[in-house]
Amino acid sequence: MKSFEEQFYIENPTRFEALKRDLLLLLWLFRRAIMWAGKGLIIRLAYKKAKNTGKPLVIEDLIKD
Amino acid sequence: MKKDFPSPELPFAYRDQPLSGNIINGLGETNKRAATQIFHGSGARELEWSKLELFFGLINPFKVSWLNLVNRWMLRDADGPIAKSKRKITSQADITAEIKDLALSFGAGSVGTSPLIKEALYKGGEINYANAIVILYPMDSDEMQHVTTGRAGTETMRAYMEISRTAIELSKKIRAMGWRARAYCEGADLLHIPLAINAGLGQLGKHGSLICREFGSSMRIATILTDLPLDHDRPIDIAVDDLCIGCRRCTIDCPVDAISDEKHMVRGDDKWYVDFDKCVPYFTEAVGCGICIEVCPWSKPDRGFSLSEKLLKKREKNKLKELI
Ligand code: SF4
Ligand code: SF4
Repeated sequence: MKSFEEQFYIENPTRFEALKRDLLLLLWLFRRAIMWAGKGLIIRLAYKKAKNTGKPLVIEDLIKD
Repeated sequence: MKKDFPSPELPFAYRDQPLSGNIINGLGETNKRAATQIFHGSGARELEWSKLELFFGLINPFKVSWLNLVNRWMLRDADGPIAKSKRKITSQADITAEIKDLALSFGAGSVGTSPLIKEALYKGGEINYANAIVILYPMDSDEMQHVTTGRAGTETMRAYMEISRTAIELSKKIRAMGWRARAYCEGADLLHIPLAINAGLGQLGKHGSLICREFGSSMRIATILTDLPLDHDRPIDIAVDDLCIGCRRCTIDCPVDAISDEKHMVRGDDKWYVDFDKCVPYFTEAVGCGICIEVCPWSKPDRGFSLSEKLLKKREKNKLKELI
């Protein structure tokens, strides 16, 4: 998988390349926002519960491969 | 500064701990080699400790996460169109001074130049530029008194956004002169600290962060890589070690004892080293932590220059005493 820089930093892009980059980046950001609001909410609730009960969360159970 | 930091007993853990970050970092290795990415892969690349990084991103407060997304959107201009006609450089000294003035006028707190040294590249990293312009941007010391909370996390992100904006503006100016230039900010493909040290901006502290005279460690670093011919600054000695050897402030205040009072051999260099496996999980829990950089005496506003002067004088005095 490519790094953020490798994906979205383009030297001397053509107009089409710049537009494609912007659209892909928007999609990348949208996915991250959705993940924060969806999966993130579940994790934050579980995290809060773990803090209150003292029973630690298991990272691998929350974030699968 | 508030002292009720989160407990070191963390409410999360790996079932199967990934390979130790200290092994990946080359702790104890006597041969020189490139660093390997472990954790901050900007969330785009699978790294040994990626799951913890993703977890970190998902438990971050809304504002911190939102600013991170806005910053990433801004970073699409970190590289871009290069003017067809190349400005001829007749004096490297003049263009270096011009670039530094521009960086400061765009908002950088401090700026230095260095060749792109191999210590700044990760294993397998293919980045081909001749020079690096390293800029520093201070964080607000009042806001950073709230380390381990969303408030300090928000200030950190604000500083990231400001330094990104500055680095992007500068890279655009250089590209408008017809030279290649790319701004590296919050992402993780470049090691900024070795470049900042080589660019004469400061030295490595016991807490594993850069210490500069202007802002201590309470700042962010960004780098613009370019082929524009530039004069280079030299590493400076501001007497960081003189204080770190005797001072134990960060060692004592780190809640998970991640900071060592001894230097360690890391990939062939004897240097200050922070225990990755102890620090990073707590860093995750504590909204990016930062206790060590905020308690550091160098981070007190307007303290660095006089502190450095005092320490250097003391060193000279001690040398004289020894001679006598
Ligand atoms: S707190 Fe003290 S020991 Fe730690 S980095 Fe700062 S000066 Fe060095
Ligand atoms: S950021 Fe500094 S104080 Fe916080 S856990 Fe890491 S080493 Fe310790």
